[in-house]
Amino acid sequence: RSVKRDLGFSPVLLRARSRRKSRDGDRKYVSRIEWNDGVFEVGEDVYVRKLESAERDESDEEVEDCRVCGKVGGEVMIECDACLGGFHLGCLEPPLEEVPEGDWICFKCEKKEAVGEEPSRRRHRTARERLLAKELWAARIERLWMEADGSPWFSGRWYLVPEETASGRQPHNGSRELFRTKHVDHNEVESILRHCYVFCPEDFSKASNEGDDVFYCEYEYDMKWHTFKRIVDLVEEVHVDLEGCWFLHITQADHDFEEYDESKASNKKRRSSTPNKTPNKTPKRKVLRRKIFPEDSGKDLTEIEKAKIALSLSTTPGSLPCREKECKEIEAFVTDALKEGLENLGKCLYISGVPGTGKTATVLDVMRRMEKKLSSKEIQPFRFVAMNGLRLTSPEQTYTVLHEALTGQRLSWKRALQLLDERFSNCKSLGGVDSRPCILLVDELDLLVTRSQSVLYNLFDWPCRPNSRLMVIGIANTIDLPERLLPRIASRMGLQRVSFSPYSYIQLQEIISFRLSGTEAFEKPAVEFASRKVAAVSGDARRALELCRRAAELVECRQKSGNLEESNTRLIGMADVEAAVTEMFQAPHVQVAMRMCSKHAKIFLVAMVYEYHRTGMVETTFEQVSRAHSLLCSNNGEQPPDKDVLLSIGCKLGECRLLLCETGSRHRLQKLQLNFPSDDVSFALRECLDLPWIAKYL
Amino acid sequence: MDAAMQILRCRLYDPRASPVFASAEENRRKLYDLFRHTICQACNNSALLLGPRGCAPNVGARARFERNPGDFSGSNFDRREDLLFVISPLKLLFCCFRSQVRLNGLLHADDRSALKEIAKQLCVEHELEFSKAASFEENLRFLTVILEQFSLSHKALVLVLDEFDLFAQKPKQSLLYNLLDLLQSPSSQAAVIGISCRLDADQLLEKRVRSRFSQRKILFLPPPSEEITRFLEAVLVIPVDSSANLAQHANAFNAKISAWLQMETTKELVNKLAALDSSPRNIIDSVFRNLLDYLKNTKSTTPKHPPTICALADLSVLELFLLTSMKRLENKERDTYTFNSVFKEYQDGYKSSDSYSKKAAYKAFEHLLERELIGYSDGRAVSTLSHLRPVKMLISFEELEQGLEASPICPATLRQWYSQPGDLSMFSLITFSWNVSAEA
Repeated sequence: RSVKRDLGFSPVLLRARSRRKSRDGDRKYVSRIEWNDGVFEVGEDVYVRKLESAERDESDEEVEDCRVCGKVGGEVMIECDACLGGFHLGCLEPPLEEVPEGDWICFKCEKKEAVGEEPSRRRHRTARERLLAKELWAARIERLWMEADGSPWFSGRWYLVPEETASGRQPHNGSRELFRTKHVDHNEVESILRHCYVFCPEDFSKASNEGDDVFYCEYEYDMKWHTFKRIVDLVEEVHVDLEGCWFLHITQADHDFEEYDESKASNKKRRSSTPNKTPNKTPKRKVLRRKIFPEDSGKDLTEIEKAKIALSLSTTPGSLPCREKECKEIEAFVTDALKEGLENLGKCLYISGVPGTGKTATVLDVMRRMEKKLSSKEIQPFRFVAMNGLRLTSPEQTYTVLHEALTGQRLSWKRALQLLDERFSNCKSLGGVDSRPCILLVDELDLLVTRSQSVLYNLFDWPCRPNSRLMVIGIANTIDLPERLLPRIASRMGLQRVSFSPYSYIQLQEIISFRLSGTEAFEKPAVEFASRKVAAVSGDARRALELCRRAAELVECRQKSGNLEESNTRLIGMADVEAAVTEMFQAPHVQVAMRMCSKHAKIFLVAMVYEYHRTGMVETTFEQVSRAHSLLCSNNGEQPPDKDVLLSIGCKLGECRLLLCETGSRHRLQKLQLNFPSDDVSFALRECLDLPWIAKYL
Repeated sequence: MDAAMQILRCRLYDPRASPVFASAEENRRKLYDLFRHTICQACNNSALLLGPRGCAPNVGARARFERNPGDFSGSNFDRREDLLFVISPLKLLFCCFRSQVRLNGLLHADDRSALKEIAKQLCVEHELEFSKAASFEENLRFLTVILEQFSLSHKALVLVLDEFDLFAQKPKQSLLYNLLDLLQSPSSQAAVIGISCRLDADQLLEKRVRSRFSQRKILFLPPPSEEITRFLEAVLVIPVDSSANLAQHANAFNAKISAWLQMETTKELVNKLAALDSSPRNIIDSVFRNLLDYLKNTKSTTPKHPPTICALADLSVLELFLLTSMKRLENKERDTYTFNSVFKEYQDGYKSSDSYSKKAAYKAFEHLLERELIGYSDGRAVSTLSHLRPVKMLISFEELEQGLEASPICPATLRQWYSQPGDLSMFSLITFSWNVSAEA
């Protein structure tokens, strides 16, 4: 019986997953298991045997033997930093008193002797060597549980040795470096050999006495696109300890979004079904425990709640309606570019469109389709790197990020630029995965514009070089970005464009209905009304969805306070959408705020309007306004306030941006201006109860 | 007694504990709904809380969790002192599902340090190691990953951005973009709350940021004036616990308070305050001083004059002379004047035996500048020719007149000189004669 490590998305795994689903109920999750004299806890790293039958006792060596005397144990041993061989301090020539600081190279490596062959003795090989020779695997335990039949299982996230990555061992890979994958498999605890220790680089450099089974891991390796991603080392400590089973599907179906949706929906329903537990937790790791929702227990979601979840921006829909044309264009671009084979010239694509028209979503959707084609071997393999201009510290950071994604090596941007330049000058000379074409997606491209525009120039120049095998897809809001750039960039990037026009109301309606399919919360005209409203202003799909969601919230809110019987059957109608529109997109705030001001603040505003009508000038000074203010007050029997108080009233109005004003220290000379049309003031204050006389001045 | 003091102190200084207006109650419900959606239904939300400063102190009220106070001690969801809210006695026990990060636009000046602060607060809360050297990008990745972890365990993150307008005024708005963009991803469960006193704060957002913002706005406004007395009563009256032996003291205190609230002077004071600025914070501040005077039977300690008049009354005679010369110059329709011209006006206009030297006058002039009663009108910061720089008086004539009245050392001749019309200048003489001839 062999242990399963399935690094492709093979059907075997899918079957296994479905089987697991059905048996979830019988499992008992634990955070710690004792097995074969070892204690395994969630979050620990272990060696995993490749085959059950593998000679178990051949070398279960925890200690390494000395390369000179061949004996195990005894004195202090030192490790050669080149060949990782162990040496007794006393066996060396001359013997060392203590372990020296810094790197130490053994005499064999110094003499550049070939290391691997061991003449006379057959050495015992340690687990570490076997791992590096790909005879063992390493994994991090993510969950432990007892099956119904009492056998202990674990789910482990695999580590890879550099040789297993597509680019092979690279010169900058450390001899004890491992790569974490996103891949998790389930195996019996039986297959665990023993502990090993995988650290982040900082801890690794500090570690001195943990034995031979130490490794470090700095990057996560994406098996699909063969790219590297730096691990946020802090997060390894946050260990999520869950009893619920839905979580599993989420992590596994990470890229498989149809299934994802299903699991997400199911988690909503099952939220309360699991018991509370965790007998013991490791002291250092913070355990986030799930609690029970008393209110939600046993209650299914109402139609409105379902609709709200469907409308939420964070829900990923299965497909993107109304963007079929653009989708096809992009797909054609990618396939064309790939089809031209290894000799292709590389291409650039510029995508423009106002926010919320599905630019990034479409590209990612195309990539998902390509991925499917890739697995069915319809197209040649390629790599995909995505970045966002607004997530970079500086435009030059682009080079670092790109280089890191391709090679797993973090360099300063200057060095990265140099290497990338070499790389794209001639991709032919590179072998293996490096010679695969690479698609680079740059979101918010306009953020990469620098004064000399060199970043953009490089990005769009590389694809045009022979044998660069790079394709760049740039996304930005403005349609004329290429024209605004230097001609040499515009000529390179402006050749192929896809423009995403704002959604029309019909399209918006389709999008909303698509999301709402399966729920009966909205009336049809309400959806149409909402989409017309949004299409008239911006054609932004996000806005339309938010609008509908808000309408749903309003109805839900009313249901809670009002009569439950009549409301449960009620759909969301035009009036609710209308209410949401007024709440979200109009600015009645200003008038409400004016109405709620204190008395003298109102008089102040009226004095501003009065001054404006008197002089015809938009801008006035505090001196003039205060004069008008005291005039208004004295004519109508109000006690005029002190100048200081009046000044602070003015400044407060300025703070709310009802006025635009200079700082108060300018005092009499302070310049003031209404931030809104004077009609707004008249409209807001015309029917003011505490100041009935004010209307005649408006 | 101590207990009563404690309660009052809490209510007055800790806005979380003070009672609530009707409108604020409404706002609190809205917020509560918003959080409930985020936490229970994984609908990510972003909202703006807008309102003038000092206007919603009582949105927050201490949550009274009857079941298990220990568990929820950290559940008071409060923000800067005036915009606080708490998810008040909830039946839902979701407080333990939430983690919270607060930022202030005044403190976290740029996007980089703001993101660092987010990472730091999260690290502290979850006992993680925080690395100071982490870059913007690394912190962002950290935030993404931790949000993923949170949503897996159904823990929602609430990000509160105080002085939201300052974040929005950053050139790239990359912090806001990234935070709001994180809300779009299915693997996060978070709410972003911006607090600002600018009513037009959402107009500051860039297009692509605004598209990601979910357009919820909640307006906090000062209470209508009718509610203020009721509010004061709610703040000041202490609860009577019949079992305690101090109940009679409490009753006596409450009686005194209600008597004070019924007094005409109090009503007048409250009305006056409400006419000027009806934000609860302002009212509490001013009323409290008055109440103390009443309770201790001391005389009112409020100053007689407004601050500018006080400042004028404290000036030396020479300084008053200079100010008066400026006023006279302005009366002569001289819009700008320099130190030299002011001194000349003083020397020419006011002829007496004890005139001051130019050096002394310049010192006095500098002092006036320091007190910001006058100011340079050319706007430049430093200039060598300070004698020749144009200045402007920053106070109005009425204030100057009141100041002269209030000043204990102002000589009678100066008051006289103030009210005396200035010599007609050549220009006005000409226009006058021209007018006369035109009429003729």
